[in-house]
Amino acid sequence: MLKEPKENLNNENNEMEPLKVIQDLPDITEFQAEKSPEEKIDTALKTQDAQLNFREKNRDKKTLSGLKKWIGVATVMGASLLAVGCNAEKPSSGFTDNVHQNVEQRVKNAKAQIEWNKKMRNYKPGSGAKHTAQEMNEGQIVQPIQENNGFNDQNNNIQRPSNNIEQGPSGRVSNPEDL
Amino acid sequence: MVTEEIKQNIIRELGIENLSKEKADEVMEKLEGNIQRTLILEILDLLNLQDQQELNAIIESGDNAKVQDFLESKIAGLKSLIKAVAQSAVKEFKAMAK
Repeated sequence: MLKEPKENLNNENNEMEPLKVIQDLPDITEFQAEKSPEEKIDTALKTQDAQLNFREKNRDKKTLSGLKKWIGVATVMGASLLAVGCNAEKPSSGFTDNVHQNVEQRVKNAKAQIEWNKKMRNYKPGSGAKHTAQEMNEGQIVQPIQENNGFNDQNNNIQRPSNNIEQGPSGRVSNPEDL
Repeated sequence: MVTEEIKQNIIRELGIENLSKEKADEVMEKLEGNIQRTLILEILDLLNLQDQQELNAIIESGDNAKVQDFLESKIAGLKSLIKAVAQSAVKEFKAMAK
């Protein structure tokens, strides 16, 4: 004898309100696989490569390879094209007007300073360092400076610094029209 | 010559500091190649058919100095073009890799 399935009179447990179901669904973006930075870079390079392949299709191969050779030795560029494109041909002085980079650099410097201080706290000079320090302490300055006469140099051709200290320009602007 | 400092500047500018050294080198090499190819195509776009034929003849002679003289005579502001192409290719790469 077949039993009919029992009807669940309390549907609360099996069925949820439609709105609640939608609300409980995970965000769809969670399912979209985010590309890693490396994959994004590879894709960018491949895209550029494909675009260039398309443009090169109708060009004379000899001209392309000839110009490529010229680029390899061209003096007109002075640096690698990538360096030119990144404005990196000249070594940076370390100065940056980018606020974030500036803060980053200062934090980096402060961390390096702390590291250095930590290391120096435990530093014990070896015998070589002690000996050098002692030598430096006892050593004489080869060209001592005389109190009244500047350098103790007997050669008359050398111009000596004056004993009188003169006031240099203050940098103060008295006349507003000079601004 | 690309010194280590210039290389580090490039890596920072491209935002690829987190990649391994090998991968960063590979990216830089490919991007350099792409910039070169773009530059060649831009140069050819600026030359008319007759100039291109003349250029082919100079290229076949193998004299790179003559190639440069020819291009400088035909393209006003060659240096500026090189800079603009290189910067544009880098900008495009950065936008796509974002």
